[in-house]
Amino acid sequence: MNNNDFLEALSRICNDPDFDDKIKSGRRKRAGEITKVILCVVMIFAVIVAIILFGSLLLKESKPSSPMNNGEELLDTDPDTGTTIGEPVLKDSPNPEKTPGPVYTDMPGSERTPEPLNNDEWLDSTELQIRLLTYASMSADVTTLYSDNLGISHISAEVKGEHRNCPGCYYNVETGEVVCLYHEFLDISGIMIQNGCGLHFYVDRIRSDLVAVSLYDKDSILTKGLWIYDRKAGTVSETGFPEGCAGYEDLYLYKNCLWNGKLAVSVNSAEGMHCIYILSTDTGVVESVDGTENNVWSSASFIGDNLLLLTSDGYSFFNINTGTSTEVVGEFNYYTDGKVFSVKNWGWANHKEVEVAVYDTETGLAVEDQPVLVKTVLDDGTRVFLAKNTTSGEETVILDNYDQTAYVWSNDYAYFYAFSDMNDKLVCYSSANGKWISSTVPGISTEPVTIDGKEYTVHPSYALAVSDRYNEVALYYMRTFEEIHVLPEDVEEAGDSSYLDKYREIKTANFDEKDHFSIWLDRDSSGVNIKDMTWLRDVILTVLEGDSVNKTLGQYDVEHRKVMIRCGTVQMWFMEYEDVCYAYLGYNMLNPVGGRGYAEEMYEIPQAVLKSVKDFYNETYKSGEWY
Amino acid sequence: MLFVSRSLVSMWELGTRIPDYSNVVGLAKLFNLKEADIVGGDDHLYCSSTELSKFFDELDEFTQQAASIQGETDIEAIVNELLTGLTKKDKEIFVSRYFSAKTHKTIAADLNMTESAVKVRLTRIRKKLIKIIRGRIKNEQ
Repeated sequence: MNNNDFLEALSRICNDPDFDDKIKSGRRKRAGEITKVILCVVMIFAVIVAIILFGSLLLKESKPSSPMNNGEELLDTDPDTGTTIGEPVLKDSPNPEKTPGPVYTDMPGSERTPEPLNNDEWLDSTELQIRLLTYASMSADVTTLYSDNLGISHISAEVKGEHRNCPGCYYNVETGEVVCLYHEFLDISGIMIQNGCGLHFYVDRIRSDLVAVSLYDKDSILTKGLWIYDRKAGTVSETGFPEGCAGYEDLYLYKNCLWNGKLAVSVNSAEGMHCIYILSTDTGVVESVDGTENNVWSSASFIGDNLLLLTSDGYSFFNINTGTSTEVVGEFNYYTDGKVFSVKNWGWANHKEVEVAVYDTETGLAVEDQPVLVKTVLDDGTRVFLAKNTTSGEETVILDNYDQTAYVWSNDYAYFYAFSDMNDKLVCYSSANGKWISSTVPGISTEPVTIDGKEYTVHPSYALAVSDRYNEVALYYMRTFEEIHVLPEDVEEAGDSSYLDKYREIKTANFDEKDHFSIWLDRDSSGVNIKDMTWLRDVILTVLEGDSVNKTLGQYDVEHRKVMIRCGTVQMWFMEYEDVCYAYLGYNMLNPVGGRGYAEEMYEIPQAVLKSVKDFYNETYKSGEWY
Repeated sequence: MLFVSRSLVSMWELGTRIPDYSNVVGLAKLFNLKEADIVGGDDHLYCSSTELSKFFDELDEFTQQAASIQGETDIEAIVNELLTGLTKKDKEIFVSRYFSAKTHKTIAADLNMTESAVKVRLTRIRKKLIKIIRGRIKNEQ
């Protein structure tokens, strides 16, 4: 189709003598186009996708433990009224086979499976087995699911209710309950949290029952205490700190610091100097890592036997067994098969320039002709995962139009899983040899459903959870419903649907009883809670009246981002660039390894809007000043 | 000469229909006039090369995605699917822009809206159209 084809087609339609009648006809409206929106029911389903290695069956079925079922097949039901909601929710697809009643796949403990094949036989010996599990949510406290998990049956979630704002919340799909690590830990440990302190949770990357918990001061970010929480045994033990260390205040922990029972901590050995220590949670032995002393500043994240260190010189991988260090470039690094994979600009969804490199951890030399997984955006705006060859630069699309909340690495980075609702496809990628397999996995049908005689639109979202053993992944489906209102033909719209779509999204992302927004100045300011929604609503709606521009400002130059307003998963940044004022409307997508990706829309806004945001900020946050 | 019906020509003369772009071009050639002379007035995008350029940029947004879709029937089906899914006001805005070739300013005045609100609506409508096009291409594959 070219422009002329389109215009001619439109001309034929509009010149139809019956067209005037058609244009006057009303239509049923989405609830989002009316100011009132009903968030009705949250239903969660899961598909367990098992990657079978070596042809051996690694799954075993056990009696379901959920109180929700009696071995009967569960349909969608409104937990409040018990009304059956519509027909089966999946799109039409020959796969997966629906099992009669929910089946829980009992995962073995912490033992590891044999190493996967790292050659061309990988695809031939691997098959996907797909099982559909159906669970109904016990409550509507879950508002968002993320591709992060605590074992395959616990998916990371944002929740409302008593555990809103708690760190470490997961949804247990078997029991239909929210699991809150924060309250779990406090109940078992008996520890009292002082004012101004908080807890960080570091889940073991291999043994999801093991969690390191640090108590930190929110102002100074100094560590005040460090424990090992064994959820399986129900025990909490204090770690102590290395000899020569003055106290917990000298300890620093970083993301992914706990690996198969080994905890890496960075210790402030002298002013400004750090050293890495490894604490064994099994034996309690604390050992320094030779070769990591005297770094000006360092962070340590574990990947297998390698520590990803960040010093003033940049990133490097340090093998704790051999003591060899491999310098790497880029912000996203993972290790598998004796190689370090480095990708720059992984975390930014809109970034098109991606640099990749692979290093051998023994020699420290670059590896040639190695495919590397890359996340990027094509020129037509399609978001894709692709395999890029480090030498030739050849790129092959693995999955396009992926769901931005539904991709996850196995804990040891051997495998990567991603799902696309648009393509009804789930892929499994092997980082060792750059090969992948895909399977048809249907998404949620978005056909309207009827509940108690009222019609509702269906909004699906997806998240992936990977098992402690890297060879199984669960695709979680979540549905939310909105009532459809039928308008009479002569009723004018109350407002532009685009504004209200956005506003509704912002409102439904809230989980406070009252609307709750936070506003930050740059990266360093503390959040200031905004209770008055009216001002902020008007700002956002005014932004949306502006021109949406196809523009990226040398993407993610943080100096251009001045103020951010956040509510739930929606963020709006305000800035000036070359004498033009802009607002970014961004949507958080969690990156499972680190950093956050954003899907963004950029709007040109009047100077007056930017000034109003500045004035509000300066008036409210008096100890800081914007510009 | 223009391969249109007499009734359509009559509607042009009576003002109940405005010629679309292809017919404006044809009429201009037929009567040896400029396109702006056919439609006249500042309220028509054919009067300004800048406006016309913006107009075709808007069309490119979705027609480039639909390069593989050929055939009058398929293209009409896509347009019909879009129109069926639009509200009354969005239909008016869409038709005013791409059939009647009115400027954003004129549409805004006609419908008692702000110019920027019209632009935002059209952006949303074009996104819907892209979604329909992609759905069609996916079904054909």
